[in-house]
Amino acid sequence: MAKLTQEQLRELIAKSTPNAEIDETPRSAKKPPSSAVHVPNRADLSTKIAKTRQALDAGTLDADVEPAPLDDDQSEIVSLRTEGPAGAPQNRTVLMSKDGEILAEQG
Amino acid sequence: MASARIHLLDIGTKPYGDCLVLRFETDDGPVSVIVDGGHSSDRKELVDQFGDIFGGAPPFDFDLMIISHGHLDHIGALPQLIKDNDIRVKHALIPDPDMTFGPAADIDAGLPDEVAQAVAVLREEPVHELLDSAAVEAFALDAISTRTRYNQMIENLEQHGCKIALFGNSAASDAQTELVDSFAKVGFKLLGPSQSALDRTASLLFDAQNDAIAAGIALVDEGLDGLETFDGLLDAESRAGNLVNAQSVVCMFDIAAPHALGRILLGGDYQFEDLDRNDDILEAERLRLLGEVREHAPYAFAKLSHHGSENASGADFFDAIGETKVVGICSGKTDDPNHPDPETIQLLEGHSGTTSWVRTDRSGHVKVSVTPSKTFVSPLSAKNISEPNTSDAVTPIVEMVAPEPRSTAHEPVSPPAGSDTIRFEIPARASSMTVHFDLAPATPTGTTPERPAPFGPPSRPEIPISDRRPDADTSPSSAPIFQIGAGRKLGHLLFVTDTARLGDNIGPNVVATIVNAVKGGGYDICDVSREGVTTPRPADEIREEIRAHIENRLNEYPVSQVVIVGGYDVVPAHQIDAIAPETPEETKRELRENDPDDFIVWSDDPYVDVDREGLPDLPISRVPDGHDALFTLTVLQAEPTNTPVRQGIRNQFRPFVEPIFDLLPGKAQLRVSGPTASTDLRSTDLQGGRVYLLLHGMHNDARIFYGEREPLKLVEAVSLDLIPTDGIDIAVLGCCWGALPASTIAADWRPGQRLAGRVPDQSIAFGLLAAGARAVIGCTGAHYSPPQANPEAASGPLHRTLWRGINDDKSPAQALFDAKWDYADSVVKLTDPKALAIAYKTLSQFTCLGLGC
Repeated sequence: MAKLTQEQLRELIAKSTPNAEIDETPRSAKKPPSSAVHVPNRADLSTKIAKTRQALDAGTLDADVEPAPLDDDQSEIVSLRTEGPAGAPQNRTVLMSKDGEILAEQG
Repeated sequence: MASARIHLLDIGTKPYGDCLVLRFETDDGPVSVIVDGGHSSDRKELVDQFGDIFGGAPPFDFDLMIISHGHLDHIGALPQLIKDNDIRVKHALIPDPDMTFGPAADIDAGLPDEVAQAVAVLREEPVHELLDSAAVEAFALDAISTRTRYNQMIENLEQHGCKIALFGNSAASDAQTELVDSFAKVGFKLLGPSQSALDRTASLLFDAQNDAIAAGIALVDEGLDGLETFDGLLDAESRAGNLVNAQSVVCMFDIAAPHALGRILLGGDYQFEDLDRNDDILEAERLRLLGEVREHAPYAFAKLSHHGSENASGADFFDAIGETKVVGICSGKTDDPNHPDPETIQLLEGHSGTTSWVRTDRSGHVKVSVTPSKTFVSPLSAKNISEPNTSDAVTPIVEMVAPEPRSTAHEPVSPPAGSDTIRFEIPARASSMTVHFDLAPATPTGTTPERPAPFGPPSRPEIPISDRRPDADTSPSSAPIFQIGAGRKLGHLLFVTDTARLGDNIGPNVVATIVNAVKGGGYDICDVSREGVTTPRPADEIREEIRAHIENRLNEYPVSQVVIVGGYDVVPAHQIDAIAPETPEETKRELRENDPDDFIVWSDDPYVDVDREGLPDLPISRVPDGHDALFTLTVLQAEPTNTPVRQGIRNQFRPFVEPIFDLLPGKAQLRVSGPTASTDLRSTDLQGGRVYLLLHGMHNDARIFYGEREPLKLVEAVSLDLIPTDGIDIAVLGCCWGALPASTIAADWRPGQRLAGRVPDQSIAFGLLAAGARAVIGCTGAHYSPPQANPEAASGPLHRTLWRGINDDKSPAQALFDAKWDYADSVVKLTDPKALAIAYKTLSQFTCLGLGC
């Protein structure tokens, strides 16, 4: 699967959220602060969970803790324009599947 | 649409005094106004408070300066502030010097010093009844030089291009009209007094001063010396200060639509109740002004004139202002029994159903926030203090912790050899203080004195907690003892704080009380403050020290939960980058561009992630201090409520909450917003042992959560003023930034940057904590909800597991800890990098505020 075009994205949004408006304002994300702590990759997290469970359950460590590879083509993340307090425009982030189904919505 | 913050500044320990700073946020940008300048000696303290309000260093810019009238406790430090370029002013509305001081040549030409000084004092407030003779003399010297400094101030203002309107000068009416027009965007309006009334005050003042001069010269001619002449004049019934009060600018600002409540009333020292002057013109003007006040009532905020005296704020005035939300009294922290007057306080108590009040003589710097729909007071502890000022005011007994002498202001402390130093912070207005010492036998010579371990008692596991609990019956004092969790048995808690920084926020004596309670409860404490360290330590250094300490403690004995005490400015939180390292760079960029937090959130979990593998190893909670001692102590002594009634509100487009809410004990239905809006609610609608809110939140205003009246259109669902004042036990907020205890989101903070902790009137989460909650669990960043079709997506599973744990009688912090571990099981199975980022963000940002157990 390939990424959807902007037009396809608009169609999807119109289908799932009538009256929604995509925020077209270019937004450049800031560079993450150097002081930020990174979350672990899934393999390390999986190992930690397995080790702890094993210790608690006195069982054996499951050797197969390697997660499946990431697949970047499952969803799209977009920023929708909303009407905030007193009519002020605001943005809301929505994660959508390729077929327009909302997977997660900010708020 | 505009909002306003009214700062009633701390004007020290001298009698009387006003200084207010108003900051308006309008569609055309901010507008800053300063009204009066405290006392002439308050310059440094005012500059410090301007820094707190505006941030940064002088000069501070004001669009408008108003001097309400020509008294020393209102002109105050303004001449010096302007001369030193501490403040810069674009427009000024100030009393005409000829009106308020009288024609200079006629008053002070060739007068004996004692007469000139007495005349100057007589046109001021009657301080000679409140000060000793030396202070009265100093006041007289200050008073007699006021006019010179005032004129110099006008010259300085003119040199800097300030547009000045001289109030009371009939030739300046155009300038006054122009000034009023310039501030139409904040609804500025002058109510009075009228020019004819001002002319009358000037005439009467001139006569009164001439009478005093004649009387003074007569006393000199009788052979009295300077002091006798001065005292003789002050004892005479020739006070003219009330005429200067009658020159006070009475004005208002109006920031709201015609039918909303956004009006602010200021009246200097105008004596609305009684002018103390039998004059038909002035009396007619007083009645007219009362009518004007009544016509524009009620107000979101009204300053009580004349420092709360009975001649300014009596029954007629309270009747005129109607159901005004908040009134403020400005006065120095003295024991002046008449400011505020006990009768004024009685009237306030009689109106407490509709009107709150604040007092700078008790609370120092107080802030009142006004929006078109709400009015808030900060700190909450400043609200409705009704103790009158008396010369024998009760001073609280302060318990001190003796074994650990330390700096209270980040200054080096070097106790002399062989002794300990205890520093007492005595309230400026205290007239008595009780200190209780328990003396232990001295250590025998030649032995090593037993110094406390750096981090709490070393032998804690050897003594059962129940045996070490403070026993009120055996206490040397019968005073109630503050106890963590109201004395409940809470397990092996480890408290973490920086006592010096916490002391800066809530006072060192209160911190000592907390440390006492922690140790008295048998709990451990990690204090990362450093004696002698005057510069702020890097956040990384503090974090590493805390982590190392927790790790060491865990090696010694089990810790059931860590409790951080203080906001992010006391104990820094960690910034977590929630995007998995294995995410493709292009996807990372896309994610950061679309998330309002750039997928960076605050978290305390790394403190208890001992093996540094990305999940907490024990429960953790944070008690934010809110820069408010009462709030902090309230949160630390939280205990479960007896009635497990549930209450909740959800966004109508978040139905995944329904089956989770049904798990909670109680029969109340989950409210849905919209249609439910905040205007449909009363505070009792949210009073419950379990509170669940699933609504929209804003990072820049945590006082309001929103539902949706239709897709993507918000409606106010709940606001801070609807949060009950008691009866809350545990709350879960599925609201963006709902549990963010600071005003800066994690993505915006950089090392070394100042980080301001929120105060109780800035956050619904804090309001719930102030209402007795043991825990408020929520997000430090934008929250992601699952769709109706798939409640197992996004944060759905964590919500469900969290509430199940709470229902199983786990402590809130433990329930969150377990829910995170359960949730992590599903996180590692995700293969969509975007869903993974949302899941990691959910895992990292859910935070337990409060005691947590």
